[in-house]
Amino acid sequence: MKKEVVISFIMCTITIVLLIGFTLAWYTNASEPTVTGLDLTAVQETEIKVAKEANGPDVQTLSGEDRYITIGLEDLLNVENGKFAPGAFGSVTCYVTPLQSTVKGCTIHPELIVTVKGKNVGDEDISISANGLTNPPFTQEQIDLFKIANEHIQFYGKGGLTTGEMDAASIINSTVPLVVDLQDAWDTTDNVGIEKKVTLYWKWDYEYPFRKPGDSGLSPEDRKEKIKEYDNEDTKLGTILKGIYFRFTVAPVK
Amino acid sequence: MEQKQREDREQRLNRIKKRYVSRKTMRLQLLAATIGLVVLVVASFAWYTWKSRQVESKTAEVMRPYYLTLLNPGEQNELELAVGNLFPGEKKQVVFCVTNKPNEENIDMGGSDFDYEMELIHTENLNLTYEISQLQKVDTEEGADIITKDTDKDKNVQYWKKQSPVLNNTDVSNDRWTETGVTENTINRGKYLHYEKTYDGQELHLDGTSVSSGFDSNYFVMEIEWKTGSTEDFQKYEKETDMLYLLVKAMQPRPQPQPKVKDQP
Repeated sequence: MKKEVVISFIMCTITIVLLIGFTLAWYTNASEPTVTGLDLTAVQETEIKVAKEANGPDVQTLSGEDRYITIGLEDLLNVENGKFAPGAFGSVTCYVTPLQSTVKGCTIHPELIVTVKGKNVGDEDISISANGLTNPPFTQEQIDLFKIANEHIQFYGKGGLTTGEMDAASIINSTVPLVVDLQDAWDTTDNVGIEKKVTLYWKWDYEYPFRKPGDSGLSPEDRKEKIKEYDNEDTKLGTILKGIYFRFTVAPVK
Repeated sequence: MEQKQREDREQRLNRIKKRYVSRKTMRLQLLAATIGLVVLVVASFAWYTWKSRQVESKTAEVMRPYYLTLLNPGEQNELELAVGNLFPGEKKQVVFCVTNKPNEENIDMGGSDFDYEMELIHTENLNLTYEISQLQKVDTEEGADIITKDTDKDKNVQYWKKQSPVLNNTDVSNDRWTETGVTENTINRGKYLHYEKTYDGQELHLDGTSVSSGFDSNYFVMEIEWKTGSTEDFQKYEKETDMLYLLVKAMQPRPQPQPKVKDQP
């Protein structure tokens, strides 16, 4: 009797663990969370390679400072030591190579992550990202600040494809998760090893850009209010935000 | 008897065998379940990581907004713009400091190099003239045009020499009236005088990162004069008071690309 109870308990525990494992796998597939710090060298084969330079190594194999991609801040004048400021802009270039014959395109999801000071002196900086907003330890002020940053700093690209080089389709949309769609970007049925250059652009408009639906019909007084509100938001970002970085998730399309 | 003992022994042996087989079976089941669990977890992660690649940029700081303030000439307190009473023929002077020196509340701001502009706004009830001159601090009273000191107990005496000529200004009243929606019928709509240049034609500018102290200060004197003499006809004045405002605004430049960078779409 005792033996049967023990066996039942063990089998029940194993079942629960398996259930949790399946659920976790399903959840991670559904919500595309951040994955960092994984050692992928043990994985036999991957579907795409993403490099920082032409014919360069996969970014996942790089470490330290080498793993960061440049975004063009160092090319700007009048901005202090490569810092973000209203009016700043730049481009990000990476090189995507299919490693499986089934891959015929890719999607690129650019994200903005902002950092603010910790609550108390000596605390670590707090990183705020879109994924974190769904399960936040953040204050409402921090959430609002993140949303303002996403309104002011936007990603976009040039339309059309050119031989050997891809320019992301023109998308300017900061209110929903932005995904740059490069499906069918490779021409042949077997694209293994064919490297393509992808360039994305970003900018922080110096003044309110009047790009939203309804902006064109604003009265002169309302336009001034919009400009003033945008400037005040810029001041808020500059005063409270400590830092900003970008994350680009490149996923294969089959 | 012997047969019974043999049977008992066989039964004990059979029980022992069953127990052993049962434990062995349980261990095998556990091992199989553990292997299955590990395979499941590894397969989940491997399947996920095959899907995508992530690349990040390094965290870059956000530039703090330029910090600009108006202080008394002693640079300790905020400017108190109070002229007081003025009689015909009298001239009064207000010395002020424009600085990017941060205060305790904004200690991590300030210290940037930038141009700025000033705007003087005044009502026109009285027949007054307004001039702003740039000042240079001198060490002694000899040759000084203006002497300032803290109001209490004559502390912090400072000597100033006026730079010549007075600052040029642009009358931007029409623009401001249009912006604020005032009309000709608006009482005390004010006059707006805009200053961008120093006495020698340079941009009004504050240094920050380029100087060792990390901040810079410019000094000015505003001279308000009632030029009409003692024969002034007071009957024509409807009001006895004029209001005065002084604004300073930092000019944060729009970032420009290095010459080598091609145009961004």
